[in-house]
Amino acid sequence: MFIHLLIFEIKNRICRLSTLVYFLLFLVITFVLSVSFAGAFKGVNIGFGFSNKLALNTPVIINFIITFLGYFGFLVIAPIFGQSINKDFENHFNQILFSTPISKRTYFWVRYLGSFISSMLIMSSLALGIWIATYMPFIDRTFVNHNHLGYYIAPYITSLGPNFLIFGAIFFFSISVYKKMAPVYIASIVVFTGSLISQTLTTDLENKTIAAMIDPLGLDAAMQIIRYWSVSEQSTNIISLKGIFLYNRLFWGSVGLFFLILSYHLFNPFKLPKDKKAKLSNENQIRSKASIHQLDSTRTNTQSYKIFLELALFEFKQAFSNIYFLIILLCGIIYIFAISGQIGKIYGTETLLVTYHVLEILGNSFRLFIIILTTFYAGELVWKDRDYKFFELVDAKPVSNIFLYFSKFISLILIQLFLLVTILICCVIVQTFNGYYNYEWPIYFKRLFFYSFIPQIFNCIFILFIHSIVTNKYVGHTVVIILYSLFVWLPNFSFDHYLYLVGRIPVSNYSDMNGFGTSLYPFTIIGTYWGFFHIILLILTILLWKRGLVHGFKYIVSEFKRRLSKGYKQVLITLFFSWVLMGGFIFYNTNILNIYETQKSKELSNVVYEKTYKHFEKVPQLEIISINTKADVYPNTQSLIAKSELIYKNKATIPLDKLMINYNPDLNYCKLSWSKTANIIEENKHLGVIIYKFEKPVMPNEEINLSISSGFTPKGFANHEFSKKIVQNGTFFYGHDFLPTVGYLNSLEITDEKTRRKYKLPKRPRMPSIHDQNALKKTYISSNGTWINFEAIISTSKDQIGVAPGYLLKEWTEQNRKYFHYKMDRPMLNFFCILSARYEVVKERFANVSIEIYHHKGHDTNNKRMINSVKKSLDYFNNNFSPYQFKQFRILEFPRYQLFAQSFPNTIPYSEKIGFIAKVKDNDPENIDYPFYVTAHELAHQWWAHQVIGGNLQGTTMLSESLAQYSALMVQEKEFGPKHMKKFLKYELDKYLYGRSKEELHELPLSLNENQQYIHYNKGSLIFYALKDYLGEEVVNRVLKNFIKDYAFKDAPFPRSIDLVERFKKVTPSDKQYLIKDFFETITLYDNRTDKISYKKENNQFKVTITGHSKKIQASELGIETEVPMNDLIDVGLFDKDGNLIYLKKHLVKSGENTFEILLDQAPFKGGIDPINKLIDKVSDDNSIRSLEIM
Amino acid sequence: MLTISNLCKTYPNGVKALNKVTLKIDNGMFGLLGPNGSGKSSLMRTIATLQDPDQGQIQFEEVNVLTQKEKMRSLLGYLPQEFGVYPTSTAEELLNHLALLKGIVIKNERKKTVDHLLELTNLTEHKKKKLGGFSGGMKQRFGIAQALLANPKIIIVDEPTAGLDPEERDRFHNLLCQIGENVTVILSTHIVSDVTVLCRDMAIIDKGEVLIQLSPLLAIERLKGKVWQKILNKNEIDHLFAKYQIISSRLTHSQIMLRVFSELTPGEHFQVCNPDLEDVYFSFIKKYIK
Repeated sequence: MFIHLLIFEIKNRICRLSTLVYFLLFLVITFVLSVSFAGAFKGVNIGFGFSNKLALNTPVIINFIITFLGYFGFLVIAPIFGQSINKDFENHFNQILFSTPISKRTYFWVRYLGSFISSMLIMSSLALGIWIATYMPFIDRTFVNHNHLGYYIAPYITSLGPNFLIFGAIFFFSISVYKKMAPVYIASIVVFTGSLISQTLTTDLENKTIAAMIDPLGLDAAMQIIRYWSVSEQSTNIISLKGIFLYNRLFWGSVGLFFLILSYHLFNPFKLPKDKKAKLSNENQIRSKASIHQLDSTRTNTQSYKIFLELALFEFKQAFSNIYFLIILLCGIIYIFAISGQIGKIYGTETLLVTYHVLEILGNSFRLFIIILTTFYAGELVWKDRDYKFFELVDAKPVSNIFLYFSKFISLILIQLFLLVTILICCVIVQTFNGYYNYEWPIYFKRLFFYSFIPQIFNCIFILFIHSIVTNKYVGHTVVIILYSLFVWLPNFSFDHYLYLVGRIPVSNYSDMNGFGTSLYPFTIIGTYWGFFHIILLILTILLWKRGLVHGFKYIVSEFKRRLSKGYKQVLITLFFSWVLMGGFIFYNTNILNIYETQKSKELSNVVYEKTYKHFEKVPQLEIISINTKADVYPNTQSLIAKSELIYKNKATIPLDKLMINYNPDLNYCKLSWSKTANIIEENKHLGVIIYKFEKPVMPNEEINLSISSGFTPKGFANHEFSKKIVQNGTFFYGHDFLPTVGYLNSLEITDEKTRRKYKLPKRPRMPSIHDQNALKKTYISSNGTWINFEAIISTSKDQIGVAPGYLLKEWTEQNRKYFHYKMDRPMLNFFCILSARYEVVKERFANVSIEIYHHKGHDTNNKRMINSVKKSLDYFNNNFSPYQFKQFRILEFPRYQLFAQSFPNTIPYSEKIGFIAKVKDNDPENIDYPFYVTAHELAHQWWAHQVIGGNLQGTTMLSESLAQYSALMVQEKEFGPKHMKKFLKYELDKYLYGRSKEELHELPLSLNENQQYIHYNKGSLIFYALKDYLGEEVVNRVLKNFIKDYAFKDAPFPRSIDLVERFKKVTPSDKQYLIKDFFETITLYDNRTDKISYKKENNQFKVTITGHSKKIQASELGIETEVPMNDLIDVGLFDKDGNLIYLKKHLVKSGENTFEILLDQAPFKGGIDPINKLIDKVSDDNSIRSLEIM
Repeated sequence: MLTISNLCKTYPNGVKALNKVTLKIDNGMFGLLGPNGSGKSSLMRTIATLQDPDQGQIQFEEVNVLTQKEKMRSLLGYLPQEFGVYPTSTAEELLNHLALLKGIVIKNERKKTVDHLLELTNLTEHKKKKLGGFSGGMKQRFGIAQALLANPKIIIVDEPTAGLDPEERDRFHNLLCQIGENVTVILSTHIVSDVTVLCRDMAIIDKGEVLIQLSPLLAIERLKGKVWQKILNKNEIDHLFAKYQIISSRLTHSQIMLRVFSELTPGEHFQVCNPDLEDVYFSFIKKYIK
């Protein structure tokens, strides 16, 4: 009986059209995503944030695609579970059904299992889609491995299956108790919210476990399992149910079971939802004395605008008596407050909750809920009267369709305003509770009630339009969701023109320095364009408005034709032409005044560049030795006019006659004139390349002059955002933005392997080999020239300060503009920038150095930290490395469009968003003072880059970035103590292990790293800190000091990382020689684990026994691990209750089990093997455990 | 005067709901009789501007109903056969909402109207209560109240007494009569007695066609002497079915009261009897009279 019914149930569902549609929809989406991932389309790079090395059918990728799309599957399975019971109740079939001998038990389980099995069948399309994709001939075959069935099945067993069982139970609960569909959809939104919250919590290392547990879908827990998996592990290991992932599944599994049992018990098949409340009785039937004729004088006026205003208010109020509306709203608000604690944390340290920041993070997060609420409520507004069968009453009233439409439209607009006000209130509350009281109302109003509001109005019109052309509410919702997803995804497929992405209007990020920049103009133009479009939709919607009985789509069309009067036609035609005209104007701006670039066209330019000019890489070129520029910055028009004098020298041993010049193709003009006759033999204006041939070759050591006149003014607006280098306030651009560079630039080559294969480009080493002698001729920072003389006159508007490297010689005002003349008194690296802004300046002198901070008005919270950091760093570096080569150190704030700080000679541009709004808590010793750290790091670059600069080959960034990290760490340790270090290094360890899991090509040892950030920054910190611990600070610094002495300010050949490693090797005692190999020459990881710490009190002393397991692993470039024997010196440490070290000593630790016995004066609280995590440990939190007392 | 001429409507699924319907309806109560699915509701909705016919014309006074819908709607009061309400709104709120849709813009006038209609339909006491909790009868009363908004010149009520208890039904009929004194009221029903009591004029409709339009009294007059009845035993009936044009057969205890239509004496102890409207109805539906 049971089986028979179940089979009947499933058959019944499979034969339904909707099942087939869902199946095919998911199959197609999965297929398209899969082939795009596997490099089927040029200009489309979809990597899901994983390493590019991973093939399509590796477990991690299959798991990701299936669980990620399974997420959207909830939209489908909610109705599947819901409708299974609901259909009987909706049609009042239950009373007949349960008069048959079918038992409640059979009914319940048949429907539940039937729903589950059919959901799984629909979702099997995901695996099938990937599987089919792997056989497609047009994909990059290197992205396909051998197919393993297990890889495809695993995600269904660990994620999708359990999720469907768990949430199916919750959906079943909603439907069997409420007997309506809406609670089911609400349940799925609540689940989403939980999942979203868990994702934001993950950013803070402290919250990881909670985050993994509260994610109802288990995605986050699964991601944590694979977080540190190397690329090779990701391609072969199935994500199995263990650790936090298992606990998550168990927890939510029991929640699901609870709901399932509850719904079984609460499910009463005979009860109709309406019967819950007792009806009012029919008492009071005495005939009233009122007469129908009393109202004969009632006046009516169906034309009054008051009607739709009052109607709109009525509809608006109705939203708040809609429980579902309120629940979604509540979810959104809870979400906002849940993530507010995570805003902008860097190294776990909070930032000041300045308005733009709070508004962007919270506003953007809430946007999803605005979309859900608007979509949901627009559907309600349109369909409510029909759903309640109320429409015959309404539609027979003399109110016009226009008024009916506008009442719904205006109420939807009121809801938008309400939601925007909700954001505003939430933001202000969050700011207030975080002690930030400088509410910047103009930003709130501009951002919310202008830049956000206008697109939202369009969105409302759009959704109402969709609902007017469909004949069913759920079809309407589905169409809206599909279109939304389409508009979000299209740009990833190189379809990103404003002309067809409906309702997308660009707004640039707000910066305190530069406001909204020049957003207003393109916003107005593109807004007007979409305005016309949406007014057309609005009129169409009125013409399509459903009135009375509607019989199918044909009826809608014929009714539309009937209503389309001449007047409407004329208005529509006028609007249509205005729309087209605006479109033409946009096209003129984006495609004629500016170049319309897509991902694909950009790639093509790079391909052409590489293919055409690669041969110049080997041709010796002139080298720059002097720059003298006069750059006039015009902030108001974002333009630049520059006249520059450059001197080049032939440093080669042979005469040179051919020269390759690159210039920024965005420049309006770039005129070059040489002091020696040179003919242009080739020019490519699109790429910005000129090839010159000198009539008479330039002889060795000959110097020639080049005069350049270049300029830039933006024209109209482009489809992409302008680079925002020259802006109204906060200009920051590089030399190469307006000056030519000489020689072939291999930095323009496409680096991504997958993309290179698409264009049939040869394999490309990421960096020249460590043994490449040729690569020692150039520094890694500039392809041309090393040490140059530099002089610049910067002019800017009267209220701004212009800055370039060097010392200010003179400052004057001329023709209402300010001029600043800078000159560097010694040769510096060919690496400079120009800045201009309305700065406030703070100056302080220390050790004969002028410390200057140029910051935006009001951004002075962290000035003291930065100055303190400069002082402490100068002190440490001067004493331990070499004297600072400049007399000045300047930090200059630039707008938050980019998030970094960068070290130029005596000049450090520093992003508004990094140090200037950090909120460091001084009384918390573990709170990382990152303004201090970043400043120390950048200052350290004045040594590790601007004194010693490595050649352009592997490992070179170890000499700059890793040493800058080390230097900053030392200053930090002196300033804040070891506890602070522990937290900092914990982040570094996490970033390193996570970084290697995303490796695009291959991981390399530190001394061979190829400009890989997770290696040179994060691993660099860990290694050098450990090196200092093993060799001693004094020894390490002595090596560094000598290294500077031998290499500072030298010309080619430039030093290599292995030159430094060699020096460390020399000073390392023989018993620690293995460290050099482990630290610098191989990828070595540890897995130390403390199993037990017990202690016994003996004669006033404590005898402590520590047992643990240790393992040392060497990883290959792709992370294939081999265990190596170990006999290493590793910390064994013990702490008291307050976390103070009471014992720390290096013991010899062997592979496998180790036991240590220690005598102490006091009882240990916790401790273990490598308890401070000095070594790179894959599982770092099992090193230190609590101790046990043995009686 | 409402003139309906040659109205046709075929639904997409092929059902012919209206077939050349032609009617002339004067002021006063007009009854539209017909079995379920006869096209009554389709006709009512068409008059109420909620549905367009494929063919035909409807004229109410000087208003062309099919093209001047808005004008018609302002003259119209309509109570559909089946309708719902917003369960979370109160009777007063929702009636106020509908009054607004009706175009009663001035606030205090609207309030007066709403209060008065609630009083008239005996809902004053429940006006602050949510409609979700209303019984079928109360909901129906609410429906009547909204149909009376702003002095309609023509009122269409589709099966209004379904779900009302007998007492409520009477009260509703009285109300209709009172209104029907100077406006057109079209009442559709399948309960014949309703029409007998209330209507000056009526039409019988079946399968989308008007079988007849005339006053109930005249109709009964037409049948005088043509309706015969006989009481017989259950087992006697079978052979009679084939022989006679049977109007109705009612089972009473173990006996059956059989009424037949016959121009002449049917014999077999049938007795002539006084026809009522029900006889008229069945005679037309069963096409004994054409």
